[in-house]
This record gives sequence, C-alpha cells and structure tokens, in this order.
Amino acid sequence: MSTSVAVPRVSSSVAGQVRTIARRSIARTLRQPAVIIPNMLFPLFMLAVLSKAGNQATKIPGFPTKSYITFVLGATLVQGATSAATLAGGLLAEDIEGGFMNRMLLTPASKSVLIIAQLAGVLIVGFLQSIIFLLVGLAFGVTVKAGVGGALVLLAIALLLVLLFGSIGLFTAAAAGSLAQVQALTGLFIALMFLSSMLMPRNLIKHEWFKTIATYNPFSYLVEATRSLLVTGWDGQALALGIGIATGGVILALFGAVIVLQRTLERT
Amino acid sequence: MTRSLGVTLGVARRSAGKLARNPGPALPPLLIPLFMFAAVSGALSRVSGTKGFTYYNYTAFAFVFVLYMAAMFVGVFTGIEIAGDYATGIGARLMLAAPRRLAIIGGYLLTSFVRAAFSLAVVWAVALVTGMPVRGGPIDIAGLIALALMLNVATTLYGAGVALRLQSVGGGVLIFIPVFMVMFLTPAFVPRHLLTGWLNTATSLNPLTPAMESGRGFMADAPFHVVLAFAANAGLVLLFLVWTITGMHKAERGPGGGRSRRPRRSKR
Amino acid sequence: MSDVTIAIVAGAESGRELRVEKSLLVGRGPGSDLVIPEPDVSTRHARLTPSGSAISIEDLESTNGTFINGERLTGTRLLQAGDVIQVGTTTLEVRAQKPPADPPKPPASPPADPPKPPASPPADPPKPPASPPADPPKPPASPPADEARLNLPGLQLTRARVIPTLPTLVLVTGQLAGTNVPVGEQVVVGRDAALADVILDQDSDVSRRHATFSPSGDGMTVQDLGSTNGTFVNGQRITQAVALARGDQVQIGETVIEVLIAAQPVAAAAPAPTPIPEVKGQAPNSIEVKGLVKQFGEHRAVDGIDLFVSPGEIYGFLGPNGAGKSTTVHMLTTLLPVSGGTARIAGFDVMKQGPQVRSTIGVALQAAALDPQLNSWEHMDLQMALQGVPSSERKQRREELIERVGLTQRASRRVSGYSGGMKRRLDLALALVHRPRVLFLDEPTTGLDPQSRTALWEEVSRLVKEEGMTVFLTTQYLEEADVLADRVGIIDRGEIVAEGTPAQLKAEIGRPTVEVTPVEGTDSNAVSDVLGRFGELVSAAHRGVAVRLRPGIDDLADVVRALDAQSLKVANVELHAPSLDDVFLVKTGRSLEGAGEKPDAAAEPA
Repeated sequence: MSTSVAVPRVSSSVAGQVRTIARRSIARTLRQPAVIIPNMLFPLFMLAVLSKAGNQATKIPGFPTKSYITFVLGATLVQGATSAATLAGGLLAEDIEGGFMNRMLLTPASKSVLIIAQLAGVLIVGFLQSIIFLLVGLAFGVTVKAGVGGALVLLAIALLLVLLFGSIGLFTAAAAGSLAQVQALTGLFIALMFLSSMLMPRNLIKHEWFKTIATYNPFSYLVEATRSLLVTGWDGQALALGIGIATGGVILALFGAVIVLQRTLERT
Repeated sequence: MTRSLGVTLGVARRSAGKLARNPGPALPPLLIPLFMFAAVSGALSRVSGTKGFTYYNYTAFAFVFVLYMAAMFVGVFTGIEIAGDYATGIGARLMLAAPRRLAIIGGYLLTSFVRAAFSLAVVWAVALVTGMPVRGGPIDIAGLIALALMLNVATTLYGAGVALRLQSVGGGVLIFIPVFMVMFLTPAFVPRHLLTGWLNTATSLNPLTPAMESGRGFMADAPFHVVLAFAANAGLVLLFLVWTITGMHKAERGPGGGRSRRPRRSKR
Repeated sequence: MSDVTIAIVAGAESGRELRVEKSLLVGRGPGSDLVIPEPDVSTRHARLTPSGSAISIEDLESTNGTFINGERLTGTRLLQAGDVIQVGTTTLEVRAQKPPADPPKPPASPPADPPKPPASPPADPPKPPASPPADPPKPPASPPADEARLNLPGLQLTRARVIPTLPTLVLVTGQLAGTNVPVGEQVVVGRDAALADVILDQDSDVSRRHATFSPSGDGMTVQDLGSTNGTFVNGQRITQAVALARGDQVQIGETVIEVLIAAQPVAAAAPAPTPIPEVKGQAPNSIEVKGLVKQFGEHRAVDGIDLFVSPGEIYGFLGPNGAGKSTTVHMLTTLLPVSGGTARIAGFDVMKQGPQVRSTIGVALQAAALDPQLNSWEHMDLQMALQGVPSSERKQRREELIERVGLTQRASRRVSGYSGGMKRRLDLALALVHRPRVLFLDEPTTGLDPQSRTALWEEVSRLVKEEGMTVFLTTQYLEEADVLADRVGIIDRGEIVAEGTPAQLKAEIGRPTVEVTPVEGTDSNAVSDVLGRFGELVSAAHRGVAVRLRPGIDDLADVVRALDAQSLKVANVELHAPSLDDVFLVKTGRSLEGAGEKPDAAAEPA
C-alpha cells in the first residue's frame, strides 16, 4: 500500500522568500557577537573620549552648543552605521566564496531577493545599536533639541544610514567578491569620517583646504543631518541634504549590487 | 649567537620581501595617522584660540599625537602579521627551525622598527610641507623620535605577545583596539589641564601621557618630564618584552599547555 | 509465431507467462519490458528475441550474468523447451507452446489498433463520435475487472456509469477499462502490486507508484508521485496536486481515467476520451547532452560532449582534476550558461527552461556549501522554504531526511562544529528536500573517511533503487565509479574519451589474468594444463603460470577449486583485473590517478 507521500510543491512567493532569507540573515548576524560587540563599543568609546576632549571647542565663539557630547553624538550614529558595510558585505562575500550562494541560486528564489534580503540582519542590529547610542547619550546629558519627534526621526535616519552602508557593503562584496576588499571599507570610512565636519561645524573650520574637503565630503551631510536634530532643532535644509544623499546612495548601491550580482551569479 | 642573528635577519628579510611584493598592508598604518593629522589639525585648529590653550601651535600639538600613532600602528600591524603567520602554520615552521625562538620575534621587531622609521619620516615630511612650525632643536627632535621608536618597540612586543597566545587572525582585533583606546586616553586633542572628570584621571594614569607631553615639550623647545617619559617608555618595553617571552613559552607548549617543547640543555 | 513460451516460475512475477512475439528487454530499469526490480539485475540485463519458431536470448553485458541451465551465457543462444533461465533470483522456464483447446479469448490488452494520439494537442475541443449510440454506451469489450489488480477490499465496484455517492474514477481505456473506482480515501495507482491500490502491471509506462487520487471536500485531487512518464490531466502534465472537476480526464500510461463527481448519470453521448498527445523523445528522468561546449576566453573547458543518462541510472563521470567534470555539472544544473550544444534535463532545456530544470534536480556540489552559523534544522527549513515545500509537510520531511542521513543526534548543533562527513550528509539531505527526479553529485566523497564514503554510496544506491532517481555522479575515485555507476563516462581535457559500463570498458582493454606460483616440487606442466582450461596461457613471472581468463569466467574460486581438485599445491594465486585507470591509460596515454592538473582558474568554476 502507499508508503511515504511525495511532497507536493507550491511556488514560494516573493514575500515568503524575503521572510526566509531575512530570517537566516538575522540568525547569522546575531550569532557573531565577536563582530557585533566591538562595532558597538568602539563608537561608544570615541563618544566618551570626544565628549570630554572636545569640550574646549565649545568655547569657540559661534559654537552651536555648550555640550560637545550633544554635538558629536550625530557623528557617533553615522560611525556606528558604517559597520553595516563590513557586516552585510562580509556575509555576502562569505556566501559567494563559500558556495552557499550557489545553493540558493538552485532554488526558485529570485536573485534580487537573495541579495536584498541579506540586509535584514544588519538592519536589525544597526537599529538596536542606534537606540543604544541614543540612550547612552541621553544618560550622559545629551539633549535632543527637536524633541521626542526629533528623536524618532533621528532613529529613522540612523536606520536609513544602516541601509546605506549595508548596501555599499553588498555592492563591494558583489563587485570585488572577496572578504578582504570588504574589510578595507572600514579604513576608508574612518578616513572619510575624520575628513568631514564630524569634529567642528563647517563654518568654524579655520583652514580653507579642510573646509573644502569637508564640503565635498558626503559624510559631512550625513553627520549634519543627524546633528541638526540634536543641536539646532528642525533644520529642513540639513535634513533634506542628509536624507537625500543617504537615499540616493541606497538606490545607487542597491541597484549596483543587484546589477553586478545578476551578472556574476550566473543562472539560466 | 650567529645562528640567532641569522634567524632574526631571515625573518626580517621575509617580512620585508612580503611587503615589497604586496605593499598593500603597509598602507593602513601610514594613511590612518595622516588622515587623523589632516582631520584634527584641520578641524580643531580653532581650539588654539580658546582660553586655556597655551601651546604655541595647534598643528604642532596634534603632530606629536599623530607621530606616535604612526609609530605604534606599525607595531600593531606587525603584531597582526605575526598572528597571521602563526594561524597559517608558518610560525610553527619557524619555531622548528630556530634554536632560540625569541630570535624569530627579533626579526619581526627589526622590520617593524625600520617600517616605523619610514613612517615617521613620511609624517614629518607631510607636516613640514604644510608649514608646521618647529621650535625644538636637533637634540629635541632626536628625543622626540626616540620616544616614538620606543613606543613602536613596545607596541610590537605587545602585539607579538597577543599573537603568540592566540595564534589566530581573530587576535588582530585584540591587538588593534586596546592600542587605539590607550592612544585616545591621552591628551590627544587638548592639553591635560583642559580635560575634566574621568578623562583627566585616565590621562593622568596613562603611561603614554608622559611621552605625549614630553614630546610636545621637545617640539616647543621646552623639555618637560623627559626622564619620566623615557622611564615610562622603557618600562613599557620591558613589560611587553616579558609579555612576549611568556607568550613564546605558551606557543612552544602548544595547545593544551603540555610540557615545553624547548630542548633542555644536558647537565653533563 | 514461436513454438515456445517463457514462464516465470520463481521471483516477483511468478506464474506469469510471456509470449515473445517481438524483442523483449529484461532488466531492472523502468524501460524494460520485463522489469525485475532486484539489485543483482542490471538496468538492461538480457534480451529475448523471436527467431523463427524459436526464441533466442542474449546477455547484454550484465554485471552478474544470465545463466542458462546453470551455465553463464555469453553471446546469443537459441532456447529450447525445458531450458531454465536465471536472471538474479528470478527463474524463467522455456515451455513448449500448447495448441489452443478453446476459442481464443479476447485479448487482455486494449484493442489492437488503439486510436493514435495526434502529435500536438488538438486546437479545438474534442468532437463527439460521428454517430452517437442510441442506447447508453456499453463499456468497451474487455474482460471483467481483474479484482486481483484492485487492492480495495470492501469497495463496491460497478460497471455502471452512475455513481451513488463518492467521487469516482472511471477507467475508460487500458487494461482495467470499464472499471469504476470510488475514491473514499486515498487511492494509489501504479504498477507494483505491493504498493498500489489500482494495479496497472501490464503497462510498462506506469511507474510502480505512479499517482494518487485523494478525496478533497466533495471532489478529489490527483497528484503525481514522481512518475517516470508523468500524469496528465486534460492533456497537461501535472507537477503538483491538482483539483479535479467532473469530466476531467486523467491519463496514466495507456489508461485514460474519467472523473465523475456527484450522484448523477453520465451523459449518454459521452465524448470519446481525448487522446493525450505523445511527447516524442521525452524521458522525464533522463539527461540528454549533445555537443555541449563551454568556453572561457580562448580555453575550451568542455569541448563538445554527448551523453545520455537513462531514467533510474547512475552515471559516473570520471576524470582527473581540471578535466571539465565540475564545469559540465555547473552547466547541467544551470549555474553556468552553455557556450554551445544543447542539454536537456528531464526533458527541459537548461538554457531556455532554467527554472523548470531547477525544480526537477537536486544538487550536491563539490564544496558542501553550508552556513557555519546555522544548524541542520535551520538549513532544512531554509531549503524547504525556498524550494516551495508546503509548510504542512516540512516537519515530517526534515525529520525523515535528517534521520535518513544519520544526523538526528547532532542536528541542533551549528554546522561549524560538524566533521567533513557530517557536512556531506547534510548537503545530500538538502539536495533531496523537494524529491528531485535527477540528482547531481559533484565529487561527493572527496575528503571523506572510508566509512563515511561507504555510507554515502549505500544511500545513493537506495535512492536509485527505491525512488527511481537518476543520478549523475562526478568522481575522481575509480573505486567509486566501479562500485556505484551503471555506466561510466571518462572525460579528459574536456572530451569524453570512453563510455560504457565499467565491465565493458575494462573488457575492451583486456580480460583479467590469473597468475599462479606453484610451490617447489609441484609440476608446472600440470598447473599449466589446469589453467589452460580457463583461457589462454600467457607469459608469467619466473616460475609462475598465468592465464588470461576467457569471457564468462571472472571468478578466481573456480581456478582455485580446479587446482585443488588435482591436488596441485600453489604458493600464490593472484588475479590481475584491468581497472578504469588502465582504461584511461589506454585511451589517453596517461594514468588517471595522478593525472590531475591544476585547474585553470579561468576554466573551472569556483
């Protein structure tokens, strides 16, 4: 008589595919505390040091706040978000190098979903990290000039930044295909952070050459957008510039990652 | 002795040869300090005009921090290289060949020293090109460079000790982050008397602080706590030399900590 | 017409009598006319052919041989009444044809000229017959329902086309034409009496467990069970469970089944069943490759290979490193586009029907690509979700597979803590979640210890034997190809240099040789005389005597017994059998073991 029943198959929907891959992405990310914790502690350490070391800067005439920790918290959020690049890109590079991507390509899942759903894990971690940074800042005297609503918008921007850097990480992993190249992003981002208006408002920078570099550096606008909610209140221009650059970056990076991977991950 | 010298020179030659064939890894310890120099001197130079800041020039003030960073980062990345060599088994091969195993570390130390000297020269050149004023004379500058090179030796020995214990690439994080944190717990951005609270306490207790302040004294032709600075640095070198020696003993015992594999000298 | 018939006197179909009026293939494969599902029987074992008034039998280079009256058959032989044929554990007896005492009974099989199906589905709906009968249609002239072929005790079977209460299957054509089968619970249709409820054992196009019909609400659903030739509903081949409506026609092999749902009489002028179009050349479990080429820049990693893998066959693809094995597998599994030629997997073109190919195949690639952060359960869940296995089936399926590969105890641990063998087993389980019809294994036992290797071989053999899977296996291990594969293709530098069964390939280059070293004082001439009975004497080492065994003699035991019978004492007896490495050496001038070259980084996929 009949024994085991053959397993019928139903087509897996896009939502189902995203859910499945996102679940895996979250599990993988959260199971690497050795990667997550340093990425979280390092920005907090820099926040602690700069908040004290930079206090002298608040005495400069025209400095927008008396609290340097409030001034620099925005940069800390940006710095924290940059770790999403190595995290997301590293996981994708591991999948490609290790052959796990081939396993997923042999299923009905669409290639775009395979790529984009990888961001789920870093989004969760990045968002939690941003909340922690904000809470720590508040505990040490940070004030949010834009109020509760501003704090929520701040977290939303932080999430957008995690998405931005995660996408850049995916694109780098897709284009370079190796973990080493993805890890090199860390150094690049450190350099770009320091060459921005992270430590001093642009209008107070003394050296013109540095002011020019900071003006052309997109990181300056990301930092200024987050900082504006803390220091200034609702600064439409700063927010628009920062959000616009971040959104444009997400679109370019994701689009680029999908295009590159569509070509490199061959499947008929 | 001749054999040990041969081992030292052999390891040094190998290390130098690797860099010559693939100079990529030599860039981060050089570029990060330069970026930091640009950022700090470019962004925070207005701090020099605030009340309480009495140093003759902010760029020169920041320069000492960056110079030490350049020397110490070479040490950090040398430690990471040692960790990599032990992780891939090359370290074990070297230990099999060398009669006195510390000579192996001597080779890495030699390469690190030479690379640090090169980095210091580059940082000096960049600083002078930007017009940084130097008040100290040749002996002062020699003193400054000596302090920097001592810090390079201390950091290399610290990294070697970690690498010998962990023998994995993951140990790189444990080499880099503590050094980075210790560097920022010095009067990196403003003089110590302008720091308040816990940061003031931390910098006062930090053995790196005497070197920082003494170095600035050399730059300003106003030697400050010179003996203390050299003693502190010598203490760090000695401390991490012991750290390395005990690390080598652990590496010789192998995993599980059995009896030392060092050959015992016959008593006859 | 021959004067003899073949009766099966022992084995799975004992009692059956065969009239050999055309060539009849005997074997294990589903394409055989007489299927003997035993491991000792080769896929294509032997052939019976009418020869005038007699029948001849030919062994098709089977692994374990065909025996006539206890003697192993070589070549072709005419059979006589009284001959006993042994194939595996099945015994066939040749009997003289009895003159018919009664008028011939109507044939048990469908009419001699069944309607020929058109080459393509008809564009218009089926037309009713030209002159519909005035009376309700009588069932076709066929024998009464063979209740021995219906494992449905207690069910009332009728011939009327009025069904009282349950959804009912009306078998319109085929060997059970005229039978009505109510579907009150799941009904399995197949060829195997042990596994099916409705047994269509005379139809070789029907798989052992072909399809199920299950009640579903007021109606019923049909589901194909991975059959070789497919189940068709209204002319369309189904790949998943399909709800049936009244009037739907289901075709299984030659049997057309009409679906009746709800208590109502069938219309008197029921249309003739729509013949299901025959899809020529489609062998659903097969692999067909013609002129396959893969070019990387100037380098041709695969240079125009042809191969065909029959359904239910294990095909071994053997070659050194860099020969093009993995590149071929990547193309056949749609992971690499083809530069030239064609390849069809289960009838689907790899270039044009990639998604369909992927839904049919399971793949375990060279590197057991696993996520070190996940455990076995999580891997299974991920794979099943992406493959579209319904969530209601997942728990059972994953437990079944994990248990089958022996990972239950460690399934909750992360893969980073698994040994190489455990990773391979999980890899195999993941390849099977969606019950593929064709399984690709790319060097599955590389790096495994002998025990793990043997366990994997056993599992692969079981998959083929019990589930009828087709397996395409690449390997650089001779023993693996020898033990596992039904047929072997040897590839070197992108070209197939040899193809055939392991025995055929080895036989091509020479027969085994037995070398005997007599003990001091034993008459070498006497030893030579004995050995001479087994084949041609050839030169041997000092004091030794060697014979090249003639076809039909492969066993050392016979030689030893013969020497013993003559009380000849020997110091050493060795059997030198040609290996696949010898085959490779003859074909290429190089040894296979150690012939691996460093793969071109641009040529072989990562």
